[in-house]
Amino acid sequence: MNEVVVGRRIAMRLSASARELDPVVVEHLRAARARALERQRPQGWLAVLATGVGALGAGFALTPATRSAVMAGLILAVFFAGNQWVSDSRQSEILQVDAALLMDDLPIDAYLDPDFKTWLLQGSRS
Amino acid sequence: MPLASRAELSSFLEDVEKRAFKQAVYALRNEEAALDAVQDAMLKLSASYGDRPCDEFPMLFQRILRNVIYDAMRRRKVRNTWVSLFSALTGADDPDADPLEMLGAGTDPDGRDTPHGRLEQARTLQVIEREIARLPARQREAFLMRYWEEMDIAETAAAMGCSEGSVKTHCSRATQTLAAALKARGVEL
Repeated sequence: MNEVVVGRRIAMRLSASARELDPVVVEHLRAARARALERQRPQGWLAVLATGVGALGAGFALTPATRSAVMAGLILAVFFAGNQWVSDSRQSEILQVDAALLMDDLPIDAYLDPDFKTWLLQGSRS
Repeated sequence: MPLASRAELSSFLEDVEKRAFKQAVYALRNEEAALDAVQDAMLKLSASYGDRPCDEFPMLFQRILRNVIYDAMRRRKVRNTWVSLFSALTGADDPDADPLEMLGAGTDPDGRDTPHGRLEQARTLQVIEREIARLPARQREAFLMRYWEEMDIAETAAAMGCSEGSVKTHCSRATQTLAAALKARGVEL
């Protein structure tokens, strides 16, 4: 028998031995594993993002270079989505002001006319 | 390379914990110390490398376990030195020591009792485990990592902190020693 065969056969016997451990030892090992998992090093947001991209890459069998490009694309997409959201918010505010002006039946130029301000002051005095 | 999730780490630890315990028992010859060593190794892997890719776990865990076992051996050596020094100074033997227990401990380094009439397979296992425990530490580590943990030569070398050539030499010597010892005891694989 060569070295590898002897090694594998001994390992098989050892595996059988490890499966027959004392239940008390098995329970201790289970508890130790639970304690260890509680202390698992947390993943940072970059790591989580990298994991997500990695999983995506693995799913679509992407090369590392393509994966980096996908990650850069994701960051750009997040940037443009934020920019669009801010722009939409401003537009919505302007629309609300316009609606208010229309409901008061007041022409917008009235607020820009200096005589209108004078007329308002005179009206309040009288 | 995808990073490990909690479930993957849990699965790895569950798969390796029993073998790791036996490895520690072969090295430390004490079940309690072996349990402590495995627990320590699992905590260190989880706390320091829990976010690494799963593929790296076997090598990292073996490296940590090896260091933990060596630390335990060093601590025990220091403790034994002080105990023997104290015993020599006082000149007193333990009055509660049972000679039969001591004899038993000498014949069974793993501290396991074997009932009479146990199956031949159990006897074979015991012989194999005893011979593995008798191997020099480096040979035992290389043998167990290569054939029991199924790590390749490069991973084993990284875990042991030595060259790939040394791993091959340790493995070869360990296998030859085990084969010869088992043959001498009439054990067939």
